[in-house]
Amino acid sequence: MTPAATITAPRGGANDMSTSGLTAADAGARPVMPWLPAPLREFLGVDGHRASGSEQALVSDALGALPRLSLWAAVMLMALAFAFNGSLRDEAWAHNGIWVALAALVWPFAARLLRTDVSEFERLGLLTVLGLGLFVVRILHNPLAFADHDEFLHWRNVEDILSTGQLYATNPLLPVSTRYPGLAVVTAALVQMTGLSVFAAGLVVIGMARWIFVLSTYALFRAMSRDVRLASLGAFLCMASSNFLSFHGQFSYESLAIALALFSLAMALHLQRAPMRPFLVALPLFVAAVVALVLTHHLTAYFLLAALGLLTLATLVMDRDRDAVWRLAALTAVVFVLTAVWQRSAADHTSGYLLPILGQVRDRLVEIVHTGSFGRRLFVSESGVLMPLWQRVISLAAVALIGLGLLTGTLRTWTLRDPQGGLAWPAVFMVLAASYPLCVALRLDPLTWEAGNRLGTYVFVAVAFVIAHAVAHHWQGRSASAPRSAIVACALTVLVIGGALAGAGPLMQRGPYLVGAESRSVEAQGLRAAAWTREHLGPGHVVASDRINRLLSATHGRQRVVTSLHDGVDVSPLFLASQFDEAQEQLVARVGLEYLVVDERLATSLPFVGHYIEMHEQPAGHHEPVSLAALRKFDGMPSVSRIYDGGAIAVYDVKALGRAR
Amino acid sequence: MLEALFLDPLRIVLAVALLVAPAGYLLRRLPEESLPPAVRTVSKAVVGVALLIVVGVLLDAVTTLTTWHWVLALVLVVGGTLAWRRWSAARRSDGLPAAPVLDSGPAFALPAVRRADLVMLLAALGITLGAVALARAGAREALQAPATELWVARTEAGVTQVSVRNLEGQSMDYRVEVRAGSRVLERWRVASLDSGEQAVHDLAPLADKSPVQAIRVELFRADDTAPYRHLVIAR
Repeated sequence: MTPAATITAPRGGANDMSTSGLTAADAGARPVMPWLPAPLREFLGVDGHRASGSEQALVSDALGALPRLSLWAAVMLMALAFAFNGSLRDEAWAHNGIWVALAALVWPFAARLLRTDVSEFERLGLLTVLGLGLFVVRILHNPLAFADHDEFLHWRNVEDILSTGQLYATNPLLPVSTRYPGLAVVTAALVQMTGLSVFAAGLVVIGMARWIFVLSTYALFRAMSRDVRLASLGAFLCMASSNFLSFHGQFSYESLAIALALFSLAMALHLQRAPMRPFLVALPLFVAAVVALVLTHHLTAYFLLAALGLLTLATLVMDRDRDAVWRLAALTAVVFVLTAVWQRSAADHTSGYLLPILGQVRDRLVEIVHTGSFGRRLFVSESGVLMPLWQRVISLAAVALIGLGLLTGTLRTWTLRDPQGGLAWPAVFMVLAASYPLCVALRLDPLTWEAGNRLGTYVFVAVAFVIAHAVAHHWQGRSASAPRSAIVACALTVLVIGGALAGAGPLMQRGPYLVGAESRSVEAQGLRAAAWTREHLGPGHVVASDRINRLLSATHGRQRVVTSLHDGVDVSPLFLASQFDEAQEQLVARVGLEYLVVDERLATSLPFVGHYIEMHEQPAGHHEPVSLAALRKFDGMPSVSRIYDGGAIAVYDVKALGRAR
Repeated sequence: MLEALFLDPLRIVLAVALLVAPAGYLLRRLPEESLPPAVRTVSKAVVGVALLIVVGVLLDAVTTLTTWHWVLALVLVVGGTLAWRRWSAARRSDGLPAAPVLDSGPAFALPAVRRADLVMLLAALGITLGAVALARAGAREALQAPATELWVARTEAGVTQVSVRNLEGQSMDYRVEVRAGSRVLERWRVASLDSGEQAVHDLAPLADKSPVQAIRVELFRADDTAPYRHLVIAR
């Protein structure tokens, strides 16, 4: 592309197209999907590149296809709502219908972003609509209340703030989370000042975080590449992360923190290059974001610190720009000092929480290296549920496309460099992207899955940047070929669907109760039992239960549940052992256990996530469901009263067992 | 419809405004061209979040988090900024150096929105809200799984009460038996208990009635012979 052929928008024209602006070749292109009726192609804005011979066309029609694609997304969300409702009734069409509607939602956005004649304003609008649209998918999935595991952990923190007016209350579900109160504080503030429910306020906060996430990745990639098309494709590809649709749509501290981290990273790049006065003016914004991040999530703060440290080092070695190095070093120091001060003063037991987990991962990795075998069967849940064939194919295709994208994008990323002459940022992103296969490998074992999943969250930002280069320069390039555009848009859609499958998988479907299956296990009986404990026993009693009813007891029931994280004991023998023995009696006495909530449905199946109560309850894994006799052993036991029967769930009063010792 | 959309959509608008508006006001101090467009766009939300977090942590250090404390703190922050701005403006008028003016950078020009575009955007919003309402209605329906709850509780006066709650979605007839071993201590019927309703029965003092360790309370549906729910009261 010669500079002369580039149509550059003026200030206010919303395009900086030094590398992928409009060219004369864009004019008069053919439609992307010629077999679709022309009105529908026109409606979706995929009717080929319009012959916009001047920059004025971009300015006057800057909304472009945004209104039409917003309407399209809304219609697909309505289709998803129907599909989710059908899925709740276990109707066969609905289970696949969810994914079809999701793909139909995503594809036109991919096709539109691939085009070269789309204004920056429209691109930002498209990313906002798609990012928030995928967040609405999460709302449609659980539209009444928080229902995923981590959401309960943080909901409890908000409830504690609302009931006591104080931070840092004890949260037995995740003790360390109270020391990172950012998410809970913001949510509690909205609840207290607007009268919203915690659920609605939480959705507002996480929706806002989603918006910050999408636009921050765009800003980061745009600053690195000076290419609005590549940046928007990169931000789109971030949505193909396995955590984007599910985990980062949850009411969880990482969902807010990763958005703040990406904003901080975008600010750091800006501050590295800005003249001194703008640097000083904008620096407080960076500090504000980092303060919020440090008070919100430990791991993400460490990630930002590591990323900035790496970038400082890379800039020192590769760019030798002393000014940039000093600035990056100063920003890194800001993150380090704030993180260290907070950890020393208020969150000193963070390492006590994280180090054992990292130790387990390390030990397991050593074991894997020695044995050469991973403990997880691909596409099979811990309860033995096999993913449908088409889902397996899409998942593998997504991984293959990521591999292809990394291969074809890496060289391009390197040769393009930072347009302002720097090599460091692209180099660091390439190194991070190259570590993606390690994240995938870690996901192949149940004990390292979590580490791979969390690491993959951060690494995928770099992966998206590299693949965006591949898409913008190789897969689609500057071609306006209709079949090519259609195929590349399909590939991008496969990446997003593949990511969603890896993150949510079968749990994306609603439907009847499943054992130990996160939101699929949260249903009427459990909610009623938890509400009953609150209403009739009062809050704050010491309660033990399985993984799901424990969450419900702690939040809906407001009970003080027993967990290995908080109490340092494993109560799983109380539920899994066939007989009550002295060790269990000691356990009851040690934690001062008052009530047991026993769900007899646990005996109907293996747990979907691999454990009923605590992760290491059965080191060799469960091979058959817990026996009904084990769950019923308290029935009729001397000193134990069965005080509630809601059908599958019973509540036992075991206070006398503890007193007996 | 309003109920399906979290009772009060205006509160959601207020919540978004609370996240963005105070920070947006603070950021008016920043020259428009000082940040890249996308960063500037989201910076209001980021600073809004940061502001609430910092104010919350500081409030917790000195008092409790209540509605009035939040409002007071935010008024102080915004008022303080306003005062600072006025002082800064007065300083400039006294001939002192002005706040830094920054290099210009790329900025957005908001495009003119055509009527058809506006209609489509509003329709999109309406359909999305409709989708949420539909999903909520479906989820509520799923929560109506039929069930009966049976429980025992002791009142402050020391009376043991057995309660039955009908959640079967239809009127039900129940029979309750209290046994000590094979001996029936008490038996009563709960006739035509409407769905959603609850029946409570005071047990006679149990200690006088049975020498055995545990008492079993069994609930039967209509003429069922097998208990539908049961409780055990240890003594």
